[in-house]
Amino acid sequence: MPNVRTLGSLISEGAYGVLPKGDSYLERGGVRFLRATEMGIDNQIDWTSCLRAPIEFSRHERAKLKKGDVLVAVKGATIASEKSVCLVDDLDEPTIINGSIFRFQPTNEVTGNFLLEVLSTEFLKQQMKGAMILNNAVDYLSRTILDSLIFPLPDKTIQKKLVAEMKAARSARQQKLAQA
Amino acid sequence: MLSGLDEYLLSQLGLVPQTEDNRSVFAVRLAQLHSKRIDATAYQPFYAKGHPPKTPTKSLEEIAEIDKNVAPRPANEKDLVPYVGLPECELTDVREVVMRPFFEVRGRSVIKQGDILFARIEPSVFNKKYVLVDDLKGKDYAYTSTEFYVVRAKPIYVLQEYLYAIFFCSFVFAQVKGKTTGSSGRRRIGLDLFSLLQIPVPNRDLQKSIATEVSHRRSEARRLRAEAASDWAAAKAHFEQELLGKSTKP
Repeated sequence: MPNVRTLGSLISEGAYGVLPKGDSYLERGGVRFLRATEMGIDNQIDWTSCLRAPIEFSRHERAKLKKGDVLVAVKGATIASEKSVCLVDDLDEPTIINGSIFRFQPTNEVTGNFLLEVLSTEFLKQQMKGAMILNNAVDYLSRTILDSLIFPLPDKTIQKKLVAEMKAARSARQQKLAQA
Repeated sequence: MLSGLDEYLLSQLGLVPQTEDNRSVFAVRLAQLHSKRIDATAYQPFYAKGHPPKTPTKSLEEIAEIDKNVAPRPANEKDLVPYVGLPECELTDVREVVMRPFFEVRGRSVIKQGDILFARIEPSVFNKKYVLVDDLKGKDYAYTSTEFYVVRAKPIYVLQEYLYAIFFCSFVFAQVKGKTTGSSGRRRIGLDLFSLLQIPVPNRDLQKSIATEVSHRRSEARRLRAEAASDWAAAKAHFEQELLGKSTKP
């Protein structure tokens, strides 16, 4: 039988970000502030366009990015789009996320890279689109919805093989787009 | 293809690569400031000191019309009209034309076949999202997003295809970068400064030759993008099949 799992069972720790007021952003100083806008296709995060939030927002431990975090855009048109999932491969500066992103650390049973690919499949996107709810007239993925997403979890050897194949395909695509 | 266009344009036009100029002391004519913004960054010289362009330049407002199209008004406010916004465009092409109620798009700019759509707001303005409208999917016109300027060359000065090409040149792009204003994440280029961009205007033969080369490069870029999209779709389908099928069987 397939080892069908919920996403919730593969999250060791996760949370939404914070929502500073629109007029509180800083030109410099403070703490780097990542929004869903900075999440791009092909797992690209545009760190250069991050805003800066007042340093007091750093007190929200839950909103602090960690290396290896999987990020999911949970509000509006970005949900289940090509830019809705990213993985934090590297982190060169303390950063907090805003409330339109859910960040989580995977358990030992699964790699972040594998979850990145799984959450980008149509199978998962359909689940997200079918379950999202309206919150103040904006589509939204609640923690309950995220936890309940289901998919088969192959063993780690197969996870590794599938991730390697997707990595090669992504690289080939990026090369072609760069040529274009 | 399009990413290597800058080098080609610079060499054809005898221009040197441009970088943002941070000079804080320079002269401008008083008439340029009259009734306009007075922040210094908006008027900084755009070419490296001692390297003025060898090709003559004219301001964009002199050689092109910006946001001048009009469309017939529908009988009813709720009538559907064609619309092309940022999401309906690829980097250089119109992907689809959607229909929206007139009351939602009233007052916005109108695009027609052959127009250039210049994305004016971050991040598109820095990604060079410049669309040449060569396929309006059978529509005569479409309303567009306020995030685009609609540009049409005045034929007595420049060819439309040449004008489109020159937006990709660092000589123009350096000016665009220097003239964006606003806070980080929301930077944009205002119409007053966009109109003042200095555009190299070579002779008609060179314009034609550049336009032909750019048209060829654009077709090739389109082909590569389509190929990349198709290969990627196949890879994703394979992954999904492995995930949901074979790999999960006991």
